[in-house]
Amino acid sequence: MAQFFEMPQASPTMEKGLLLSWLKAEGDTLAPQDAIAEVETDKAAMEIEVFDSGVLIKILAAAGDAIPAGQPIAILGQSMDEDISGLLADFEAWKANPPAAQAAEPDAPTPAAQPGPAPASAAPKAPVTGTVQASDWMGKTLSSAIMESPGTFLVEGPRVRSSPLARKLAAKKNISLEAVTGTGPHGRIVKADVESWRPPAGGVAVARGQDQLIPNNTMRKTIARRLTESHSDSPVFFLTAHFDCDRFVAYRKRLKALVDQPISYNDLLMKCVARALVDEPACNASWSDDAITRFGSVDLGMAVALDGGLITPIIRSAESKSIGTIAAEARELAGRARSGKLKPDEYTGNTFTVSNLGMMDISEFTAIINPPASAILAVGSLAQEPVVVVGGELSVGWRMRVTMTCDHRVIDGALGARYLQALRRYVENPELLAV
Amino acid sequence: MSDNSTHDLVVIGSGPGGYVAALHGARLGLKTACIERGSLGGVCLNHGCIPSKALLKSAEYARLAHHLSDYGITVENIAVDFPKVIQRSRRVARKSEKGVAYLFKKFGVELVRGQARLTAPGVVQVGETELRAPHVVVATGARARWLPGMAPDGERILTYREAIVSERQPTSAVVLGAGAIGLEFAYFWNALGTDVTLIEGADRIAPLEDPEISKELHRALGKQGITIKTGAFCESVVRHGDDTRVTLQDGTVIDADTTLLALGVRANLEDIGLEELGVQVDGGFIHVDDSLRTNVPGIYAVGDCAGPPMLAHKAYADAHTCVHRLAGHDHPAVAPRDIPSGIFTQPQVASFGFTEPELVDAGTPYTVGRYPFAANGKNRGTGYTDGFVKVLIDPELGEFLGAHIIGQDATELLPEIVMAHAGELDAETFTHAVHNHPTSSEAVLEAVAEALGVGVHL
Repeated sequence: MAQFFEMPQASPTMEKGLLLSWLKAEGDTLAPQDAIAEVETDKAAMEIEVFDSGVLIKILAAAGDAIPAGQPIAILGQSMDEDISGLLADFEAWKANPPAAQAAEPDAPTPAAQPGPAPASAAPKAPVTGTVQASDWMGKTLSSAIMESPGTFLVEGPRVRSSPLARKLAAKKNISLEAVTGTGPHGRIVKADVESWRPPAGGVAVARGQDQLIPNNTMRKTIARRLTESHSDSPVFFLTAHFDCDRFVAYRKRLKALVDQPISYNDLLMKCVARALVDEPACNASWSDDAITRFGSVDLGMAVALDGGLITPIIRSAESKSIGTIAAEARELAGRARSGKLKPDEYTGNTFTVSNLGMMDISEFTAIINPPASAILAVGSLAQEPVVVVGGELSVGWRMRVTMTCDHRVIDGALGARYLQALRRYVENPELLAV
Repeated sequence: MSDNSTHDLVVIGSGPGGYVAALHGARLGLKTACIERGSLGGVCLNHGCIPSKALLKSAEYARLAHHLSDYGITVENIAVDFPKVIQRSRRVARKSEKGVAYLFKKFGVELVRGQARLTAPGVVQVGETELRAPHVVVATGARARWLPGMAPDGERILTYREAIVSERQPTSAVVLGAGAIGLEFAYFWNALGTDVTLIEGADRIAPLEDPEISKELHRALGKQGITIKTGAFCESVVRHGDDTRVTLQDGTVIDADTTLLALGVRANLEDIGLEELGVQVDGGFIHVDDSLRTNVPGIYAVGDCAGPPMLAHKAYADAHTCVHRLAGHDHPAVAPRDIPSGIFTQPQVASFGFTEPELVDAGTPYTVGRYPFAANGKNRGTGYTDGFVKVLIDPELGEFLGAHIIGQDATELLPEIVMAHAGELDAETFTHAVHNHPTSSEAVLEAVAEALGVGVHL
């Protein structure tokens, strides 16, 4: 029997999915795990798969559409001859009064109490034996998705009232109309306003370059929203430590010579970070109002810079993985992150994060915590410096500065300091990693 | 209103500046009085704009009557009943005056009849009545002026004031001055059969207009039979028996039944107490700032008495700005340059902004677009092919710098460009507005297209 196929809730933070392209056409037969369409979620481009064999009867959404999770995007069934008129009518009704609009009505039942999307309830489900139906697991996440995101997806800037001459003159003089105060009715910007506009005091009187509007893609918006939330929600403090890295450098040099695999300083450092979290598990934790979750393993996020954004793929259970495994996974995850191929579960839910700008010659910096973790380690450059050695003599040594941002709700100052002591122990004595 | 005030606003004069100031004052909630010694509505409604339109329509029909055969209509025994022409005009004027009285009543403006005199800032004496208000708007208007060697006698040497009510049609007339008033009387009398000689001191008639307009108007009025002398200064006008004798500086003597002195107007500033209160007067007009304030706090001046251009709609604009601002409301000031002008001869003349020589003198870059009504379908159909539209446009932004129209409906066609200018519409956007076909307004569109180099109908 024909049924809806819906935009999946691919990650906890996903509000809408941007339908990039259809990989199947109407009339195509489908096998389980066939990719049916390509979708850009808040963090990654991904293929969405079907769970049943059957046929793609009808496509309900066009490439380029931003579609809320849970909204039907296609009708699947067993044969092209099936009658889908009822489903199409349901879809029209659904579009006319989507669940988000219902939830916004004060008298409506809470979304959580609703059985799910209107078409799912209107069209009786007939699960195919032995398979999981997309709308089944969709139904569970849909309500929460609607509650989280009643807002609109694309927001246009306010219209600036201005005369045609003012706009022309502003364009000629490279003046942004947003910067000009209008003196016409209701603040309409007229030619004289543009003529009399001067750069703010202190500005230099040089021709300005043309301002550009870079539309925010879903990744940019997710970064903005999540980091703003983190920054405003968590009371943070910073701890900075200088590590003596002479042995660290020597250790990696020996490993490189012995192992037929690229291993970076960052790989080695992540192993140290994971091991130190075993010693201080209270730093591998997350805040909620009722309880602090102390995670059972170290899911170590590593910040990877992308064109126009960043993403934090996760090395799961890093504490129990070897340096070689960590190095291999890190390399593989970073590669797929850069090509936009990470799956949502590969970048959500880190318990601790490492952000390393050392390769860009940043000596030290602070980072913003990536929830649900309660701390992030900002790693500066590993460099040779003049150091005072035992006996008061000057020498040259490898040094590295790290700054840990701690959520004070979870990590107190002394705890954070103990963690950095533990980390120092491993960085300055990497042979301990083998113990 | 302070305790000893009788009003919030007192307006002296009920011409276009005065009655509009009073109505807006009342509309904005000010307790307002308007003082008038003569007829409500001032020169405009009683002896100017409106009754003259009645006369000019008669003139237009008289000329048309002689051309109806061109349209296949035969009329015989065409005759002019001059007193009836004047009487119709007077009825129109009386109706206008009643209109102002009605509006005063509707908006709650108190009308005070009599001669007003400012006795102190904020104190106006009208006979036995003393009006006290924090704001006093002087809107006393203007009257005809003349030069040494001449003076109106009210019988044969006239100003517009006597001419517009006189039921005696002159057999011949000399009109001194080829501004709007002189041109309109010359056209009017000539159309009804008076032998008219028009004398202008400048080197062209309508000397404030673009020279191309003057040239076309000269051609059209000359064709209608008006004798036109430009660059001719008048030395004296005297009575010569029953007639008048005009002597020009070059010695030429012209005898005519009637001479009209149309040499401009001067502000009415006498006997209202301005001098005693120290109100500053510059060049014969009350000095005001762009909020129409005089140098004496609480005293304002609008319209003709506050300086040129001497036009009713300039007085309206002054009154709007003045009263809104004194009542604490925002209101833009209108630049004199943006005030349009009109001459209601046939063909009509209408213009605003810069003339072409003014742009040349200022070194302002411009492009010009012209479109003759002879190329416009509607005008060819109706037979009104005299004249053209000329627009002056800033080549960089497409701003309208000036527009000059001569033709049958010039005064009704100009406001489209005035509106575009006021709304800061650029010429290119202007041409994107679809115009009704067939209309004379298409000539305006085509002139703009010509200026942009995108016209295809010429």
